[in-house]
Amino acid sequence: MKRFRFIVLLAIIILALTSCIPGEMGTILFTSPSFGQIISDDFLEDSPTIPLVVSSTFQIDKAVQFSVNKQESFSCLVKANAIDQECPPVTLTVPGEYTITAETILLDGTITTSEVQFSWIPQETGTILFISPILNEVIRDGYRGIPSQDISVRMSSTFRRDKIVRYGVDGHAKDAFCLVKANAIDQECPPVTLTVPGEYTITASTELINGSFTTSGITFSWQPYTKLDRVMLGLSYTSSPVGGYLMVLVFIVGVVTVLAWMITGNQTIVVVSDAVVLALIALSLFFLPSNGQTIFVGCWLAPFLVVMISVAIWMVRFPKPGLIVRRSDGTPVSFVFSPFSLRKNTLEIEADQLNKEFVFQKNPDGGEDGHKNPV
Amino acid sequence: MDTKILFKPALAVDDLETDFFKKVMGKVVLVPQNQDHRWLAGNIRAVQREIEVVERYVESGRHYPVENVRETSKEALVRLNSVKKQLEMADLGFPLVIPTFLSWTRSNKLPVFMTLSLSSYNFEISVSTGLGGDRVRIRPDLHPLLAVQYYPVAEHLLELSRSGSENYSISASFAGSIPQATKQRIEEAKKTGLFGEMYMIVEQKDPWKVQKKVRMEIMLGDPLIIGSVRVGKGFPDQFCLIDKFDLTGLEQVALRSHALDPFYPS
Repeated sequence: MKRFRFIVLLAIIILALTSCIPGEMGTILFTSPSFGQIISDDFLEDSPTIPLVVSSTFQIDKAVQFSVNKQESFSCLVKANAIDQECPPVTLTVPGEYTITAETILLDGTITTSEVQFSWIPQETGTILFISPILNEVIRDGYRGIPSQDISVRMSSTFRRDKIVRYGVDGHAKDAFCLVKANAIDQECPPVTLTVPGEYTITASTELINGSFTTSGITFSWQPYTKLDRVMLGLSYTSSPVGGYLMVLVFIVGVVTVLAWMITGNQTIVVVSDAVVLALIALSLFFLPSNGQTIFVGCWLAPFLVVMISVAIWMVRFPKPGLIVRRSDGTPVSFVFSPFSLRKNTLEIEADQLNKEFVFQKNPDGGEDGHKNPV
Repeated sequence: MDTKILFKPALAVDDLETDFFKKVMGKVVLVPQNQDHRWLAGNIRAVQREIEVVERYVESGRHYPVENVRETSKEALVRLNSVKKQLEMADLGFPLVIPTFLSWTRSNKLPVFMTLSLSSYNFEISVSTGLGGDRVRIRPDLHPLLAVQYYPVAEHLLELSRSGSENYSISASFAGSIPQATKQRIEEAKKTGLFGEMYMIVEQKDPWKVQKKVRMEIMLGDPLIIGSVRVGKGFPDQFCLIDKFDLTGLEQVALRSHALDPFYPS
């Protein structure tokens, strides 16, 4: 009986003590990252970190166990009633959604948890540009005797990290890969070999860290030299057939000039003949399957034609007099002939001498005396 | 016949003294009215021999001794070559024409004759004065030795332009047609290869009108056809009559006085 009373008393004491211990209240709040935050920073580090800032409403310091995506975990002693207390940063491994869980053990041994969810979707900025080939470039060759052409590929990059670039020509060559360094200005990549002349678009693509791809491309054309171009190439002793075309042009114009001068002896006709021949050559070039014609026309023929035609217009506008009668006071009377006159030289006569050799002759028709007949 | 007389600058030769020469402007112009081929061929050979002699003088640099006249060898060579060409052309039936009659003017100081090309029957003389000096433009383009015949007319028009501060011109057109026979004659002349430009000389019967703008005066006329003949490098060109038809009075006079014309012997 006495023993029974002791047990009852002990139970009462225990119940009394238990009812006297207050229940622990509080929570861990995430200041950074915040719930639903999207982090778009393009971190250059392999394992970028973001700061972890928390607040606490517990009345006592708490050792909080943090875990990231329930994998990595670390602890941080959060002060009582802490506001924006920094804890060890959180390491981001791959872009995606993250969940940070904070576990706190209460005095009664229970565990209270709080968590925050955020996303890391890095926005990588930058682009890959082609340095070679150039946009709309017309690539020729130096005639290597084989029907292929290696197209030199050079790129630049504005990405802040090295990029593996995959590039290729639309359906005519296998794709190639090139590791383009970060912020590369002019990086050489393996060339692309073409076997068929034509117009191409070369496209480069690279994967961004968010998994998307960025592409860039330019158009160029490969127009290998024709047989005519190669002949001109041989004449020019340079890497361009332009010199050969120019030599042929000079030769033709020279022949035309000599022939026109020998036949007519008239400089105006010579100039006009040269202009006509040049115009015909220019016209014929547009019908020839020659690739050098563009350069030829653009670099040499057009300005040369302009000069020749200007000279022709000048000579038509200000023709050379075919006959000059110089008065006694030295002033001339110029007999202007047509620019197409066949006269070679200007005949110059002194009016005084002319008058001396004049004889008066009465007009048989009864006209006025005084008209003169020059020698 | 003494052919030496051909080579003398017989300044005093009178029309009545010889039928070979006619005094024209102080120089002797050979007028071989004899169209006999043998006569012409003989004289051509004679002239050629004389040319060879003079050429030797030219090489030696001496003067060619001509009776009463100082004449350099080169001058003699020019004259002899001109005579030779004249004889050769006469032998071919193309008599020499001295084109000085083109300078004949009427009382209004405008030309009696207009000179046309065979491709265009328009004739125009226009003058302009200005910073570029006094300029004369004759259409068609004439041989300078023909163009210079219009110098007095040009000076007259220039004077009008200066006094009126405006440019003047005169123009006319030939509205006639060339007979078929003349066309054939022209073709024959072209085939010889001896002629350069060919011209048609027509008397402008209607009075010229001086105008500030070009205006064509239509006229009918009967022309002379002449052509320039190249004697050689360094020698003045000659002009020969190719054909003529239905001549006017003045054209006949011009032919008689300025051409060896087998059809109009003086």
